[in-house]
Amino acid sequence: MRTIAVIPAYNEEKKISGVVWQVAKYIDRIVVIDDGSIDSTSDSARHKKAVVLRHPVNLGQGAALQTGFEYAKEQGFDVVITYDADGQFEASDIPSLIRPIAEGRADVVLGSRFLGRVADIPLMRLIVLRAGIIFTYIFSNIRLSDTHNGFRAFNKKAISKIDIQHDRWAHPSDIIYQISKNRFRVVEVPVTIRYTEYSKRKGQSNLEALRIPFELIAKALLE
Amino acid sequence: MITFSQLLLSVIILFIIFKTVDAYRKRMLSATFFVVWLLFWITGLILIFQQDLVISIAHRLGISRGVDLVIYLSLITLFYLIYRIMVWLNEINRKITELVREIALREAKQKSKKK
Repeated sequence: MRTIAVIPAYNEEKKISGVVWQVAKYIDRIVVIDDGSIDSTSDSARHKKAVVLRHPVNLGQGAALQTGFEYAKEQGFDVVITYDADGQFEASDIPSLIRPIAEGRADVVLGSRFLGRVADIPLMRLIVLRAGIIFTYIFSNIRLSDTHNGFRAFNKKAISKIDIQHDRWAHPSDIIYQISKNRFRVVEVPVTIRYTEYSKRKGQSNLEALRIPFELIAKALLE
Repeated sequence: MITFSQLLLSVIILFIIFKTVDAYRKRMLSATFFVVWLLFWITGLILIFQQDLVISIAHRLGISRGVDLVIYLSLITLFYLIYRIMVWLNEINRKITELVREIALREAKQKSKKK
């Protein structure tokens, strides 16, 4: 079973190297999508297991993930995991994320910080994430413990069907919606998320999260 | 007798028509857009001098003043145009995403061939 990690990165020259080295221990190939960075993210991501795809302009994390998915499809990988470049995740969680797919129990595995251990989660972030869970339940009819977690695994069937249309903030909701629409078998597994000063600064702000419902509604009206 | 407001509006509309014809000559507008745009402003120009017509249409629609009818129609047109522009922008965004993705994937293929 060939596995690949898709890591979108935007101006992550400080963290990406460490993240790639950690992930490489658990996975066959890594594809880093340098999403139009203006620093040396592409050079920092070098590793014998890593391929770097470069977006000439910044499109957003959703678009970068889909580029990674296209690459994984072309190369015929069996399991695709998505991983954040800011070092929030624990690479040692990867085997437990892949296991349900390897055992044929799931098409999609979603990491959940609320089933696992959360280190230093800010209160406002907790409130926003809980609101996201309720919002996703209303729109997708899937009850999950964590909806905006970038740590996921997909099998070949799921990757061939999922096509992320939201380039920016709303892509996690888009993914959940497509999982629901395609009736994929979903399993949640606990993962550890570390809220460091760096990840809090780099990540999506709580205010930006408020844009998600508007973005979803606007897109639905326009298409 | 031409009032000051009629004169002012006519000058503005004539200027817009002049700019439209100029832009069409320089091939900056499509023929369809040129015709629709020209008709729109010529109609406006005629209605400035046929205010009784506007008022009678407004009355028939249950609107008390002719100018209110013009404002309502303008608002509806503006909202529609904004919607069309949003759809168009969305489409352009989608195409840019596809293009950027294609460039990224193609570059990676070329690099792996070189190796």
